[in-house]
Amino acid sequence: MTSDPKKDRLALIDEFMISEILSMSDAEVLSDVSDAEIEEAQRRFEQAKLAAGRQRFEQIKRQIQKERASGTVVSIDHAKARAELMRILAHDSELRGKLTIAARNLDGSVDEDVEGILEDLAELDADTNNSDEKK
Amino acid sequence: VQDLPDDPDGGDDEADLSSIDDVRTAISALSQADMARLLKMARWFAPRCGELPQDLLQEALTRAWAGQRRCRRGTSAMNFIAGIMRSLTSQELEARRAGTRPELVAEYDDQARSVWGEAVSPEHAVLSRIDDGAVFQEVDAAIADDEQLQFLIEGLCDGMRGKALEEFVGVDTKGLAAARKKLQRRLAARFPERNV
Repeated sequence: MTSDPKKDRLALIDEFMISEILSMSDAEVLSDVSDAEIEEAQRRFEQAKLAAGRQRFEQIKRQIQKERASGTVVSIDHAKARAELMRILAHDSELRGKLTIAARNLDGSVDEDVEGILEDLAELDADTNNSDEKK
Repeated sequence: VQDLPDDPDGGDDEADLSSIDDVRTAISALSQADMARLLKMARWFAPRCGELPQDLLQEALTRAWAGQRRCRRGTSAMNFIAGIMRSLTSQELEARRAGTRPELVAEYDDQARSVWGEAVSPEHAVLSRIDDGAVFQEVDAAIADDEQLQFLIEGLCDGMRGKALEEFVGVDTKGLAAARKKLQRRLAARFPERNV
């Protein structure tokens, strides 16, 4: 039997190791890794998720503030932007929840909130266009 | 076990990829034992790029969660994350060889802000010596006293599976399973948990 030319020796050994680890029973694998190590991995993952969300939020906020300060007004294709936003929200329930929670809290409709998000996206779009023009 | 994704970053149509929601649901459903399995995989990959297993696993999970790496439909969450770890290991090793900034020296302060290191610590510098060549040396050392395992490695690296591999190693199905387990334990012992 000939080996797959696309895979080198190390990749095949990697696949062997992963395959064997995946086939280990729960009891077997848990005897190799301590509870403390597992808890540490879970804790760090939760921390990283928070950090990633916070970083993303701050980035968007800074961009919006910057654009508001510049006073730039750019018209966008409203229908296209709305469709794009709805597509993004459809694929990301967490983001959808965060972006529409304000509307629910204020007893407003999700549609109204989408309009607000679109205004912010228009400003982000202006920022992107300005950056492109400077290049 | 499915093949790992060679390029989890792209090259696929959107329709071929799982949604971020699906990936998050799958990651959230990982059990304690699954997390232990991922840590064992991280122990295998991390020394090769001079990273700590916990750092490597955290980075892989975070990228999967954030959608920075996309998962092909039909690929399990475990294989997906294993593929990211392998990919990150390769990238990190290449970056170090090229003398560029390490990508994975990420730490988190009390406010959970990511703090990216610019320099390679002495510990990382030592660990980064464990590159591909060193991995092969460790593999050779692990099986030096066992002819059966030498045949097993040779067969695996020649792409053999199932009956062909059994015949090549000279064992039956049960014997092959035992030899595979023995090899996994030998290899894992070459990269002990000191780094976790």
